[in-house]
Amino acid sequence: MMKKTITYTFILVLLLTLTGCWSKRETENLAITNAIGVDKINSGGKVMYKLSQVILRPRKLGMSSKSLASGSEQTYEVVESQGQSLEEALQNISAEIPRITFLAHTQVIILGQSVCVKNLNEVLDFLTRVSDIRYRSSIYVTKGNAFEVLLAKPAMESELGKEIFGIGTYGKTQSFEVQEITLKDFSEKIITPGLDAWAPVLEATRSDKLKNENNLKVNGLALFKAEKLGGWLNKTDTQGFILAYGEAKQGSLTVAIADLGQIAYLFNKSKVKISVQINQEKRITADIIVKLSGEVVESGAYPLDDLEDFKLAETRLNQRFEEQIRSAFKQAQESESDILGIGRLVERQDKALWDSIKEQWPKMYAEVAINVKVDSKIIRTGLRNKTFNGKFIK
Amino acid sequence: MLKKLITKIPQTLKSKTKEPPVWSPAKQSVTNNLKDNMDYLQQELANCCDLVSRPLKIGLDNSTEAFIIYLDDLVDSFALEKTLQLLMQGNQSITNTIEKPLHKVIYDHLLTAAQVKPLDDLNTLIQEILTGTLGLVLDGETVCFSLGIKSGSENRPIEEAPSEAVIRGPRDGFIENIRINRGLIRRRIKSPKLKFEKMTIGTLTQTQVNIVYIEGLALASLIQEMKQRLERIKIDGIIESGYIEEFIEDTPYSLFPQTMVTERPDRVAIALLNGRVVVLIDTTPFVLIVPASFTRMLEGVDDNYVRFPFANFSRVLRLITLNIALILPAFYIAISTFHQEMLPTKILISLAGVREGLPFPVLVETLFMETTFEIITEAGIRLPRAVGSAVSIVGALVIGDAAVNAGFASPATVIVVAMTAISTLTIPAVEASRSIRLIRFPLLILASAFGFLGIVIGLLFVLIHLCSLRSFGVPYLDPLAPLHLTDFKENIFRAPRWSLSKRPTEVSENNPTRQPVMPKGKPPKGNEE
Repeated sequence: MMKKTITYTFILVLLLTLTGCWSKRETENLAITNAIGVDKINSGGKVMYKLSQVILRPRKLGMSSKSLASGSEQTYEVVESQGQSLEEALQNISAEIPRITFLAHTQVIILGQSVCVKNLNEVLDFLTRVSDIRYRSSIYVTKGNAFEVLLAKPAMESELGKEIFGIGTYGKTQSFEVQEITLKDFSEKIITPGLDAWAPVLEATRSDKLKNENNLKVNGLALFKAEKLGGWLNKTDTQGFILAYGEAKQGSLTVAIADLGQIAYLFNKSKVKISVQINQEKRITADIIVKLSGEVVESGAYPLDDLEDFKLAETRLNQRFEEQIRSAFKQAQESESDILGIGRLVERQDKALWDSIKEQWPKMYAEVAINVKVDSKIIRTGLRNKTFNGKFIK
Repeated sequence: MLKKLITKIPQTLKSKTKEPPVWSPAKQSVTNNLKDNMDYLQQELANCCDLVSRPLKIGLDNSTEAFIIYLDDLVDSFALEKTLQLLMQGNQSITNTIEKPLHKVIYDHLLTAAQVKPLDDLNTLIQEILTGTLGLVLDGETVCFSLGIKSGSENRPIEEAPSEAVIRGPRDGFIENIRINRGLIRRRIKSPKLKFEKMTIGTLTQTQVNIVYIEGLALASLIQEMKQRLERIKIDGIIESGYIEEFIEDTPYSLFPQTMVTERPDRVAIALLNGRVVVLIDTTPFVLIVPASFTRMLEGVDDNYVRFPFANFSRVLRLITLNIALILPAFYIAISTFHQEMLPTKILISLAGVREGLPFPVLVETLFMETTFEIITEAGIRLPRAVGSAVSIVGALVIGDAAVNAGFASPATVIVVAMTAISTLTIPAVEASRSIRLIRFPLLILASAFGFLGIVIGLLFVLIHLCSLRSFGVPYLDPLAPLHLTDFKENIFRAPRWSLSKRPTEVSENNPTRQPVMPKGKPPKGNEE
């Protein structure tokens, strides 16, 4: 017994040393990629994928603030490579950088317009197949090339991925013109019939007031028609869509009321109900009911001292919100992109009908009529209940 | 080759068993002849310069020859003088009658010492003398006496137990004298049911060992088992309780201690009241409590004294630190060499930032720092008081700070090792924290070879081993495995004292009720003023 125990233990210990450190990689040897951009380009007559990666330089980043202040060196590096497939492009990068490519910390994936138009299926297949990429990464689309966006300078953060991630994460809680979407949601929406995908649009703009460099900006949404790019939503349409989509956490609207002055309304609660009605002629109508509650945060000269004033303001706000939603929906219909998922609602309502119209849904979607009803409530007027000088113009 | 080597070892051991023992006395009866007895005793105790023997005449009307023999350093000189005075002056009114033998008369009238043992064996007398009694041999009698006049003054004062300090709780600790230690326990449990059974172990040292238990509370089978295991010990000497501990363990090769070692009488009293059995050993302040369980090792004795919310807080804290002490370095190695995906991005970046440019892989770095810490700990125990500050400066500044500045180790590793080291020290039972320290290293190696998989495998082995351990028949992981949910409120957590109406089930089958149910204090109803 004793003999056996000793022998087996000895063999086990020997075995342990034989394995070495299987698939070991030291932290300092990783090329930590924070953001990637995917493009399709024409190089020398061949259509190739172009993969751009933002690779961090941890030494510059990880140090305390005192050493960071000393040098204004770049804290990350943008590396580009090309290949027939994305994997090939990834392989080609490893010939250029002396480290192990490590995509697990990719926070942001930027898709160039060229990819969105034609090759989205291939790209999404790669992104969801490799085990490194997290499903939680945010998807952004850019009008133009993704690698150009990656060349922009971050305004606040030390790295680009964090900057984009921050704009999406914190922007959406403050304003309803910014929204982000994860890789998981995005790919689910692409493959779900009766529901189309969208992604926020990232732009590199030259804001000469801040610095003489390109800065990033989230501007509108890209709409997809199945797995192809369908169209774009501008800023106000995006607001309308986000409102109807039910994801608006907070947002403001400034309206002028006749000649009484203007107020700024900030809502921080929204509730949306979308339902579809199908009549005998199989015409589909979607009812979008939005309930908002918020407060008046600015009032130039508009009086707010009796209930009638509030009613008037609320009516005016409702009109504007409804216009926005209608305009956004119209734009989506023109792009044949069912981003609100009307098709899914039809399927839930009437499965048999959906099965028969599934094929021509994109066309039918363009003819869907909508009723929009926004009910915005002013529940507070901030810390003041009169205008600043206390006078009412009325 | 290995096989041959292993088979050889027991053979070489076997061939050396036949040799005469140094001293194993047979019975040597007391003879009528005083001279013979004296010769025998002096021959046996020859070359003992602390031995004193002298003949004397006992002051009875027909004066009797006798002699006394004792060890000078062990007897109380005041008591000795008093005894001698009485013996030699005698009491002239008592006459030696024929009805009573001489030794009976002396026993009845002259020996004032409280502890008097009549003996008929000279070798037993020698053993008694060696414990510090006065031997009295009479002429013409086959009975001799051993008079208990041991001196008890050369003891260390009772001090706070240095290995188990508490903020609230009694400040007395055991000392090296078993008589004082018995007194410390007896002062806490004033019951005739508290028993101290005496045994003598060690053929040469003749060390006194006491089995302590509360009769009717401790299981008879447990006491019996303890007696059997102690009787089996045939070693020449017992110097410390550790000698006995290794003999009575159920699984001698285990890394985990299967007896609870303490030098606090209050911990012993608590254990006795729960029906445990305690072994007191002379010449050491450390006593053994059995059966031990791992959850009891995580119990600070002052958990019983502070109010229960904080006691629970510190117990949960110790559960956390136990895990930190066991797996934090392994976890650190695994996550920084295999599972970087699991780290938040910011932490990964700072980790990669500080690790850039370091010469060693994480494993070597961590092993280096862990070893350094173990060296400092070892030095801290051995060092003379005067150089204590020097060692702490070297430990804290030179090794911690300088290793980082010189680029040998990353600050992250230093944090991990420091955290582990501090966590190890929070485990109240020193023996348990030692086994944790030992297991940490294999886990570290496993983590460096297989990542989390290795840690899980290692922990499973430890867990399986812990589940299979028994301490005097009681499962070591009680009440976790086998699961006794009712014991959780005392063994894992600490419920309010008034709610603990039952003793923990592991050893209290005899008498499970500690107090009536819920006798908690309440304000009187209805007479508020």
